[in-house]
Amino acid sequence: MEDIREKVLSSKWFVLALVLVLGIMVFSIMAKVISTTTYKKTPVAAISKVVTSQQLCLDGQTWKAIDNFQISPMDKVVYKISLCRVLFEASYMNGKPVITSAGSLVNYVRYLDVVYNDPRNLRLPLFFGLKIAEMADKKMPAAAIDNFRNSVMQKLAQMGLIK
Amino acid sequence: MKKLIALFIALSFTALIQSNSEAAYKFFCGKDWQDIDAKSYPASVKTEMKALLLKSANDATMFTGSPIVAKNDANFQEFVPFVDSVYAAKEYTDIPLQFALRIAVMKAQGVPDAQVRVFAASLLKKLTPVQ
Repeated sequence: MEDIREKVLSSKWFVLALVLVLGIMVFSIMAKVISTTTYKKTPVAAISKVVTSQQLCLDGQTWKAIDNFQISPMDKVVYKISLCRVLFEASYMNGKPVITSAGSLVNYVRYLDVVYNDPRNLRLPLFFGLKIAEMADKKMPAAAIDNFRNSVMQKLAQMGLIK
Repeated sequence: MKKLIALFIALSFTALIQSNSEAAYKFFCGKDWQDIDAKSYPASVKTEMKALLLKSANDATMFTGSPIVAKNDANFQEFVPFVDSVYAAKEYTDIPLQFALRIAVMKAQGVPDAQVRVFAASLLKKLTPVQ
C-alpha cells in the first residue's frame, strides 16, 4: 500500500493534475471576484444626465398599467421580469449595472408590486425601483432604503421630472 | 494508474466547462422579441408591450449617461416596426434589444443600409465572446 502511495505521489502526471486543478480553482475564484467588484454602483448623480433629455421614463404608473393588459396573470409576471431584465442588461452593457448582486428577478418583481402599491411611489422610475428592490433583497435597513428613495425623488422633483 | 489520472483530469475539465456554461449570459434578444409575436394577444397589446420594452432599454441608457433616444416625448411605438425588421433578419437574432433599438433609430433616421450593416457586423463581432 505504502509502495503504491509513494509511486502515485512521485508520479509526474499526479503533480501535473494537481497543478492543473489548483490553477482552475484559482482562475474560477479570481473570475468571480473580478466580476463582482469591477462594476461601479449607479450613483444618484447620474440622474442629472436626464435633464438634457427632459424625458419621462417607466415608473409606477406604467407598472400598474401592465396589470390592465389583456394577458394572463402569469404572462404579466413574465413580462414584468422581461422589463426588469432589459433594464438591467442595458445598464450592464453601458458599464453601470442597476443591480450588482445575483438576486432573483422574480423576487424583485414581487417587491416592485409592493412598492408601486404605495401611491407615493407611483412617480418613482422603474430604474430606481429595481435598485430599491435589490436593496430590500439584500436585507438593507428600511431607513437606508427610505433615504435612497427620498434622495432620488427629491432630485427628480428638483429637475421637474416628477411632481 | 495512468488511466485514473487521465480520468481525474477529464473530470476537472468537465467541471470547468460546466462552471463556464453556467456563467454564460444570454441577453434579451430577437428570440424573446419574437416570443411576443407568437402569443395570441391583440396586436395593439403586442405593440404596447414591445414599445415598453424599448423604453425600458432606453431608460437604462438614459440613467447610465448615454441615452439612445434623447428626443423629448419620443413615441417608442414608432420604433417597433423598425426593431421588428431588424430581428426579421436571422443574422441579427442574437443582437441584444438595446442595440437593436440603436439600429432601429439609425434606420428611422434614414442612415444608409450599408452603414447599418457595418455597425451590426462590428457589434456581432464584439458580442460573440460575451454570449
